[in-house]
Amino acid sequence: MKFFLRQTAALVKLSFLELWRRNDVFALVLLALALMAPLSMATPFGAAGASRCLDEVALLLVWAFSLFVSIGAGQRLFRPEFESRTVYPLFSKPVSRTRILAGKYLGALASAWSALALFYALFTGSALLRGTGFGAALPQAIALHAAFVALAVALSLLGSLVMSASANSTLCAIALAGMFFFGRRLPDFAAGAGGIVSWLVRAAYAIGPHAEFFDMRQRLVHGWGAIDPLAFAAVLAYAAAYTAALLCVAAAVLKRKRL
Amino acid sequence: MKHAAIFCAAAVALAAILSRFPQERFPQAVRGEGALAVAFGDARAAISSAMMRKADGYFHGGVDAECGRLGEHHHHHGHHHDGEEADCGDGHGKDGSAGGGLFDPWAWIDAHVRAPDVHRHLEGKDSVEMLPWFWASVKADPHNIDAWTTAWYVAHNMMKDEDLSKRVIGEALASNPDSVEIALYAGRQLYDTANPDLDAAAKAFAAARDLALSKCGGDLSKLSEDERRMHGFALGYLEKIAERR
Amino acid sequence: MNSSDAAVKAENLCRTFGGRLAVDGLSLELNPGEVMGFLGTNGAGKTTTIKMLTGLDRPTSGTVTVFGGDPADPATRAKIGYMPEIAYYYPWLNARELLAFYGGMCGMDRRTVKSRSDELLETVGLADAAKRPLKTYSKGMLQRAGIAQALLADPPLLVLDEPFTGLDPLARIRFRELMRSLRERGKAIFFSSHELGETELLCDRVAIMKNGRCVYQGPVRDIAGDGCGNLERLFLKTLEDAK
Repeated sequence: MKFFLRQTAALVKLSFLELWRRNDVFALVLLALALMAPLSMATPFGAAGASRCLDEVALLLVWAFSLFVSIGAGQRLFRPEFESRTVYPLFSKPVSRTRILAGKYLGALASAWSALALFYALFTGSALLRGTGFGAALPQAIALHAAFVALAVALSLLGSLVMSASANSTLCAIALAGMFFFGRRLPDFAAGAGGIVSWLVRAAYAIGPHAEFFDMRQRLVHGWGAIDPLAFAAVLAYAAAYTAALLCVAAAVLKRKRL
Repeated sequence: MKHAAIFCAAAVALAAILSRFPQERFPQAVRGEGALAVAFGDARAAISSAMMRKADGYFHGGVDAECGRLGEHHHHHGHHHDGEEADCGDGHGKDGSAGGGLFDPWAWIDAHVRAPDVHRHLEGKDSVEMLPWFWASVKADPHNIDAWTTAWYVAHNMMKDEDLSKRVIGEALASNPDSVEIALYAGRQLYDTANPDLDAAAKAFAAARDLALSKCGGDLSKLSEDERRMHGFALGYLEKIAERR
Repeated sequence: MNSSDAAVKAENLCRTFGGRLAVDGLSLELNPGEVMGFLGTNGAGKTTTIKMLTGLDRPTSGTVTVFGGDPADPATRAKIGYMPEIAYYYPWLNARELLAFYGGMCGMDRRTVKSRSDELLETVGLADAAKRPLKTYSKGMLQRAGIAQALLADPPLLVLDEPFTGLDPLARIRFRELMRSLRERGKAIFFSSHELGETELLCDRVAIMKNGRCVYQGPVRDIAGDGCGNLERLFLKTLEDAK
């Protein structure tokens, strides 16, 4: 057990150091401050006191940046190792490929979650300074967002095993952002389309990663309150199942992959 | 990321430089109104409309009423609109079932996460939350008259802030000196108050009337339907003022 | 000596890639306390063989064992220290962190990793540069970092792919001395190289590959090795005869 824990800790630390030493997160935080600072000082028509739009923009930035960090964390797990040949000394160590995958995933997840925690800390801090509270909805929103990050990292990890970094980033971003904005409209589109297009859209609706399930932004911005526990549990279960499925496929791919 | 930032900065700089050129050299730069016009062209109108829809959504407490079907939200959740029973006329149930009786778990989840339990409108001082979107709308397209007049309505009638509404209509007039509707609302700004300045209001309504007449050379049939209606409103207000004196 | 004690035992090892025979019927044996040089032209099958020895690849047919175990088994790989040819180790880490990572991957505790790291960084001449990020390292420094990570868990078998690449003359002397001391401690060392002179000075036995086949295998002392390039003549003659 100690042996396994040491191996896992080593892999987690590797991913963690990579994220925080690449300075991507700091760049994103600076970008967020650069965007939010003038917005927060703006007084439309000279009227002060509007805070919902700031919350909405801030949450959109949190989502956009966390998507960037998640996809980046996942896609750097294997492709760069193959390209820099560090996969050879790594896989020659007394550890199975499945354990390597599990350790790397946990490391990427830990680093993505730490970035998410920072983003939400900044968001919550600025909201509290403006006197805005969110009640029980905020912890739920953070939990669902964290579940989404877990799914996004797993998707990007799978992509890192089968395609180039740029293709992986692009496809993951399109899939996740596409579902985020249009996922709930797919049945309408399928109904309006015909033939094979309709079937493809229905298939995408059925098996695509429904990023929109995790989006509680409107609840936070407009004070709709927390979602009911059953729905909350259902979304978490969806994330867990989807993530597990992605990781199983990734493990199977990695096991068969020729180095 | 560095390259993307450099590219964006270069694009903004180019737009700012091009906006300095005389309009006749760049006819595609619509109305020559600065960097935004050069960068976005006719897309500004679309952006402006989108910002207005956003403001409308804020009025409805975050519900996207643009789909034109508040029933969609009702059908997901069966919630009430201002205390009334929801009308689930499209056959969908609160349980996420489709019209054919098949249970769609994704729709169920979506409804429970993304639809509100109660649909509340913004009222009173809270209406200030809509203003940033109206402001963004008129920044994107300063000639979006609907955005200006709705912003004025929010400031004047909902927030009951006369200084604010005065600022709004002042900016609207500056951006749209040829708009009969804005000229009319300028009159309303002076008339629709607890203590109206009847003389100033009469002048403003008269200016709106005259603007309409000057646009059509006295032949009202040459005016658009909206401008004709505004002309009629101006005359109506002038009558009311005359009666009150 | 019981052949089950052999550090490496390959019997009729074959590996094909889409119809192309990369390794064709290779048989060899390496015992503890021996150093074997694995030579051949580019594309001869050296790296493919090394991958099979270290469990990174599966043979198409034949068997390979390391101390009697299958290299595909992680427990067997605990006995192997492998250094690949040209690895660009994680650029955001420094050498100490790199060794800490690989030490963790070998299940070593922190204290052991630290003491071994101090010792190895001194041995390979990276003690002064230990805290610099690897992205600032030269090719030779990366090579030395690679040697250090292969030795970290003190494995009984070392498999080194082109260990002399990028090493300056002083580093080569140090490396040769290190390999000799490891051999005296009973380690088995298997390395591939294009450096015939270094190979002749260091190895007990050599195997020469050509087009996937082992065309020569034998003790270096039989070549009357006296450091005057006899291995070079043997190498050329063997390849010529194998045409």
